[in-house]
Amino acid sequence: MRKPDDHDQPLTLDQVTRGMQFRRLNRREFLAFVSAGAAAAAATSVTGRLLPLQRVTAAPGGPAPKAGGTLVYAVVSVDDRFDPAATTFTSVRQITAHVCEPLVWELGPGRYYPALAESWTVSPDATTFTFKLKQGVRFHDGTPFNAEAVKFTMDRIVSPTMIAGAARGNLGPYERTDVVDEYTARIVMRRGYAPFFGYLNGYLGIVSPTAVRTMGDAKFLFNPVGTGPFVWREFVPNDHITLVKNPNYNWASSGFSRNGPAYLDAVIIKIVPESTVRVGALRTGEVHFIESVDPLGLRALQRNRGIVVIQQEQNGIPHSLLLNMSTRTDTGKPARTAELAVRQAACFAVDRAGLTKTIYGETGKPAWNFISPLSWGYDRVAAGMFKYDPARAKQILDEAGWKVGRGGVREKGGERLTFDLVFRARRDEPRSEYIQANLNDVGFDCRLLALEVAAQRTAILGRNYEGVYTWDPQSDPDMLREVAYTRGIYNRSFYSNPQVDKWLDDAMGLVSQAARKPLYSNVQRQIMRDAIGIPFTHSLMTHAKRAEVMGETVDGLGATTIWYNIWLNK
Amino acid sequence: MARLAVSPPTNVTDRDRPRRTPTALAIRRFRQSRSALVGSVVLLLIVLSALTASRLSPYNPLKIGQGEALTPPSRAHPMGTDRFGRDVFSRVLWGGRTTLPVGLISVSIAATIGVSSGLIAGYRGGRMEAVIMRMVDLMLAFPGILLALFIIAILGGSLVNLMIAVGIASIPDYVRLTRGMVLSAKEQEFVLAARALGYRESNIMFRHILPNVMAPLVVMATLRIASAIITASALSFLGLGVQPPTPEWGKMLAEGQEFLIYAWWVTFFPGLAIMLTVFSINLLGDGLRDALDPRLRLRAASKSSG
Amino acid sequence: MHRFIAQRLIHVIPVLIGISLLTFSMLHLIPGDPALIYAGDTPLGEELTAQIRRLLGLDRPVWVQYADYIWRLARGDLGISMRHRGSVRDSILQALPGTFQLTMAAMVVAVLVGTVLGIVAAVMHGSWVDTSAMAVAMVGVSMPTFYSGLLLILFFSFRLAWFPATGQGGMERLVLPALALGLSSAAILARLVRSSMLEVLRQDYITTARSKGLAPRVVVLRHALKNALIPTVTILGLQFGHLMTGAVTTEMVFSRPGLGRLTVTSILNRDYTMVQGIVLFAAVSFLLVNLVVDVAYAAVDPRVRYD
Repeated sequence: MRKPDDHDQPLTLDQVTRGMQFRRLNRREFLAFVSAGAAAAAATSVTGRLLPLQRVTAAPGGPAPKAGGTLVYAVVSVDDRFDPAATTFTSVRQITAHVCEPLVWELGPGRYYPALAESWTVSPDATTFTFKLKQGVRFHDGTPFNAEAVKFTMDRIVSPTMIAGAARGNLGPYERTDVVDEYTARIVMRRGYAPFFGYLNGYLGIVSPTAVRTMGDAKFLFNPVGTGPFVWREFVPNDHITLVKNPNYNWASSGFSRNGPAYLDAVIIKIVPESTVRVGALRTGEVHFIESVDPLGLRALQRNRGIVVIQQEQNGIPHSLLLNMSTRTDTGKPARTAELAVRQAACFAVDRAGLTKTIYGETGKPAWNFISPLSWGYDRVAAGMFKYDPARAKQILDEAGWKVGRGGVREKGGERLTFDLVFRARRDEPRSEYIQANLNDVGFDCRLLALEVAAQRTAILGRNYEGVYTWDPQSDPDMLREVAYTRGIYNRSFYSNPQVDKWLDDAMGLVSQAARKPLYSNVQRQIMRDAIGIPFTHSLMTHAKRAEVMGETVDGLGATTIWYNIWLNK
Repeated sequence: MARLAVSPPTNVTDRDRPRRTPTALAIRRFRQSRSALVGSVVLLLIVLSALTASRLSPYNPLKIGQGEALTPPSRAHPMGTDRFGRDVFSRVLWGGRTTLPVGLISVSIAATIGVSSGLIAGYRGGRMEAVIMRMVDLMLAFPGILLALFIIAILGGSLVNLMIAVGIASIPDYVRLTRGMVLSAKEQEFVLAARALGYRESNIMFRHILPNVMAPLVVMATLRIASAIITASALSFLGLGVQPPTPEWGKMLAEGQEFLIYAWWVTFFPGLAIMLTVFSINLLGDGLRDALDPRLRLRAASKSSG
Repeated sequence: MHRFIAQRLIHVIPVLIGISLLTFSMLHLIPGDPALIYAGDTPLGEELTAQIRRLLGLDRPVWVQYADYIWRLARGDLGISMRHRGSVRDSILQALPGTFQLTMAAMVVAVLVGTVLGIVAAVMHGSWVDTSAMAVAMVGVSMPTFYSGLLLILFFSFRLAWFPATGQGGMERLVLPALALGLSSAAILARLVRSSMLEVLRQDYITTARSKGLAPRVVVLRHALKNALIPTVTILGLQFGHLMTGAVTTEMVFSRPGLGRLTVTSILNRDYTMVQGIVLFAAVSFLLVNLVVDVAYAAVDPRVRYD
């Protein structure tokens, strides 16, 4: 591992204000607003695991960056549609962010750098965001980038004909975008939306209006066109995606400390679902960089010279099992977990530490709360509300009338205590088997339903399950909205509590961190009381690369590797 | 479908003297075959160990965290442990209780439907036969595992659906074999006699014809258990068959694939179990075939899947 | 000859109709409303559902839907994926070369290894070579391709690092999957070649050739082999189905993009239109391959007759 660098130092006012102009905020408030990430950065540095933003300006005496070459980057899976507005996957966002650049990059927790926006202002009530745009930027199709494109991108996400993904949730209470002039766009929210900045980094990448119009959405989904340093070349399903260098690129974010086209001629994103195969391919040099190293692979790679392991704790919603509270499923019957006692029992039944150790090893830490301890909004009380206690789980079920019946499965009124666990085939199977064993131990009959991604979404829509997973790297505590808000994007519990909604809405309109924090604490405690799910593991982003790969940057979420500054030292 | 009449190779050896009864001859030939003997012994051992899995297996096959995860084979765990610290040996033993019945039951499904359709088609002829044989042609149009996959795609993956899918997909072979034999048996004296005596049709079919065509059917059914086991474990391997926590060899193989490089034993032993089982059934089937019906060799040799 | 071809063609038509009926009925057999599956993760109101049903033609009488299906098939249109809304035909055509390459390579392995093993065993009939060759073949027949695939990866990729474990492209990535897939067919072929060789070797003309003083090797090569290969060719045709089966697991084990992999992911994805298209495509191609094999075979071997 490399030595930590600038992440360990608190941000200077200068760093924070770069690109940011606040009008009527006093200095304290404004610091509170942006310190979201600073707090997180400080928190991570304590663990000593956070790997720094690697500056491309080489250390004195180090080799100078060289242009050329193709980076082969192995990922676990890339599914879905390759349109930043349509996808719900961080794995896809990582790719589209290189093609359809965002307005703002978040290159360290809470550290925002201008990307397509040169500078910005935020109104004190956090309803109006005004972006001054870079000039002379062109999309890959040759058309110019301007305020109209920003408006087009944002309007498209909320358009009723668009099947929008995570972007829709990220836009929050979006009302409209005003084209103030050719290079000034004003995004107006219906109410305060302080977390907006944390979401600009990725799913809200700017698309070429001309390309969308000429191709139509259906085609654009598989041929994204933006302004980024890489141009979409091809997608071979289940095999690879190729991006090639954008030779005209000269509007790099100041966060990257340089300008001009990317060093790499091309990036091949190779889809290699099996972890051992990724590890093997990295060792043989077939690929340069691999994502998601498994715990055993990690041990093996740490002994390997010429290979560098990159670990970074991820802020966001930990790996969690959400419990379906819906009383109206597709089958017309309530989910078993619509009953509070059943949910509580499940929460006590799952051995989170054991699961984390068995499945994640050194690539995860047990989770007890729905947000990461890296977040300034983390509430310790909520985190202490459940622990692993199977005896307690059994007692709760006994008291609720679920008595042990045939084969050790509990029954009540002729109904068996079934638990349908819907999950991604192959990828989620190990943890599902672990949870299944835990639940069956206390008298559930847990059935595993392995589905591919799209089928899983349909199942979620039909509400035909007891448990389903979620996980999302995010930076602002507003991430709680995803699982706790009535219409939250990953609210797969179908949880709806007006009080919780109100806390979340109220917190969103406040710019001061101190004022927001208690509201988020309330939310965390309430959803824990209502046992909406079981957070079980905080993951550490665990990637590995060959030593000749230099200059990669990981974004503030610990979720996106940015390839712009990567060069191959051969 | 292709129905090519190639003169089948015959393998009757000179030692088989025609003086003995066919049954005695068959038994003698079977006992002479060393491979058949080996096959039956191995298979018997496998079946016995699956039947007594609850006593034989040193650990609970389902309970997680009983031991250290992914430990190599040792005295305590002769086949090592899997990622959940479960004893692979116990799981392999219990896996037999899933895999063997899947093979048996799916073959029973196929044989029951296939043989009765074949009997009817062969004996009745006419429109009935045309319909049945067109159905068979249709099913044969699906190469290999495709029909089973198609059925699983509609029904979804589970233990029961797995047996149904594998069973249905192997019906055509039984129909064709039965029909072919019934066609020739139909013209033989005993059938003509029974007919002249006014026996009921079903009586003639099941009482008189079926026993006489039984031998090759038994041979085929035996060999098909082997391929049914391969197909079923392939489907489970793909995640389309038996679901966890039920131990099943194909599924265990798939689970071990992820850390094959670090822990070969998780994959190696369940695979070995499949191979040994299939191997012994094949040996047994070959022995049976040589004993009962040497003419089947070509046909059986061309069938397999996995 | 022409009559034979005509007969075979007529024979194919009802099967084609059957295949189309079966695949067509798939959307009506699955649990749940296809319209909802099409919609994916978009919540639908009554009106939108009705709209999608209309769009998919699900509101029309079944026979009209079927006629429409056939009409579209006739134009080579296999519909669109329920999941990513791309063309099913394009997805299949994209996956096809990978599977084709794999199957052909496996066929080569099967023929090479199978015939050599079979001939050697037959020529040395009764010797320990024969016994062990047949034992090896029996193991090969009993070995599921996914197991042999994993073992090959274990030894040749992980232990020896001779070949890459997975992926597509280049000969070095084809060797292991082709071996895994080809070896079981090779085993079947070896058994077959041996028994038909033995058959031929026992026949009069070989004995005559021998008695005329021809060297054993010449006898084997010139006479026995030629005749023994005829049934082998037939079986090769039948092995197409076997290889298709193996291709599914082999592609999964070696992470190769191809038709098999596409099938499995489509099933797990409940992408019914994709499964429908693949099944139809595979069945029809299988039918055509068999047709061609039959006709070619009849042209070569006059003993073959149509019954």
